[in-house]
Amino acid sequence: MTNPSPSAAIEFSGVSKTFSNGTHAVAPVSLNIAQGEFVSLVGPSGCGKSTLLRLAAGLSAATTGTIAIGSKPQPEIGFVFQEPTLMPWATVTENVLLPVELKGRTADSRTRAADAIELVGLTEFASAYPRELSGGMKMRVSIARALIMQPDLLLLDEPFAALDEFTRAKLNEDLLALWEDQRWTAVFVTHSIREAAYLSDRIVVMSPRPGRIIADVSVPFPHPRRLALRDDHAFTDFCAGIATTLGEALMDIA
Amino acid sequence: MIAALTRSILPLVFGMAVLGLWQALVVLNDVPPYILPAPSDIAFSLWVDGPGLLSALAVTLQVTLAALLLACLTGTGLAVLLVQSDTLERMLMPYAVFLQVTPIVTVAPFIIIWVDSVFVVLLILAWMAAVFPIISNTLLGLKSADRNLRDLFRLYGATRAQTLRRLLIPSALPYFLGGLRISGGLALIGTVVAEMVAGTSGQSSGLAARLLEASYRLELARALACFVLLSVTGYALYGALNWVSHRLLRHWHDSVLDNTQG
Repeated sequence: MTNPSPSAAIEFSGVSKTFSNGTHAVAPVSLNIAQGEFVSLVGPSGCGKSTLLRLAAGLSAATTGTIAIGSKPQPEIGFVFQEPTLMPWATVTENVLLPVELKGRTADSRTRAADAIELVGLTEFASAYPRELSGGMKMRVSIARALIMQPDLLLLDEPFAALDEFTRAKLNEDLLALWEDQRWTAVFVTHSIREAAYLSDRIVVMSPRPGRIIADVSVPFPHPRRLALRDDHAFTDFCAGIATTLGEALMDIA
Repeated sequence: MIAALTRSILPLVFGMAVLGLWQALVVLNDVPPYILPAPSDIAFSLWVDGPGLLSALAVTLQVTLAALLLACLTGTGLAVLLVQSDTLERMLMPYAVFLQVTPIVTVAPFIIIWVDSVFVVLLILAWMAAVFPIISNTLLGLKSADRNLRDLFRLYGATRAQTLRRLLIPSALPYFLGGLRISGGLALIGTVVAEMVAGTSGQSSGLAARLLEASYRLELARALACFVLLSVTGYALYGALNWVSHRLLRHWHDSVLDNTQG
């Protein structure tokens, strides 16, 4: 890892990925994300957005290019998967504690777990098992687990895609409130332009075969945002603009 | 409630009917007890020979449980070893299969020649019968851990030992317990076959040896009493392992979901 430019939380420089089966998933991509910025990667399936996230997490190695994360030698990274990915044999508290325990338990780890669980509003379910929770609640546990290490960088891979519309809106609102309060750097992958526009400071639009960036748009709405923003005309127009950009890019490919 | 009661009584009613028919046929046709004893003869034998047979049962049970314990230790140990590397698995798995496909009766003569202690002979043969389901199920379980959870462990820099203890072993537990329930029955069958082949006799002999001995003497009531005790033991063993499995998995595994959910 090389050091990123000052104030960049994560910097992709000429990063590409070709899988061992020959699939060219990501063309050389360069992208800078600033400290405390909430950036969404939007695009159709196969545009390499999830691959980019796995590369950032170090779960997969880039074929070319470098990825620099934070200024610390060992940056703390949190990851939220599309599925809740909880250990079914462990309680909510035990699941949230996992990162702490893997890195060596500290005296205050129980308090930290309780705090993280409170942040996502699940205090009364702290000793429940995952199967006793709804899909949305499981996702909250997953977010609490990612936040317990107070990450420098939070990576979210379509975390709400499997949830119903109502639960999804509620979780969007709560995630945004958490971010407005704590301001970690977030990279959020989604299919939904509306979700991306509601949550992010910036939307990076990607296009497939091979995955590349076709637009990088700042979101003009100030914080704090509330769910009502989604019914605003300006918001709807903004989303339509991005959809058009994406649509034109896809037409070119087809 | 009444339906549940009926359901639990039904098998009993069926069993009593069969026994009653058996008793009637034997009495009405005057069948001699060395051909087919009546259920009452078997019950009488159980009552009279009970204490002696129970001590024989203790011997059989001792071998069975020791073999099962040994199968658990070696089976899980081997599975953990095999999951460490594909090469190792390819190299050793055919020999584990060998344990499964070889009828233990054919190995018995060699073991009897090579090993002095009868207990150890029985133990080895019963272990051979019991160990494979534990190896193969545990191995499958260790490999079935959730992909994303594996990634999460990698992301947080988990050591091999941490991944094994906190992820792979809990993931493998339901599979292991499934194997254990099969192996429990196989350990008993293995012990019985081994006792019959090894031809143990005298005070220290097990229940299967007693059964064989009684049948040689045409004491069929006693032989059937041994048979009844062995069956009951098999049932009890299965029930006990089921209970252990339920206790260990009740909080989280789908196989023991209670009725209030789903």
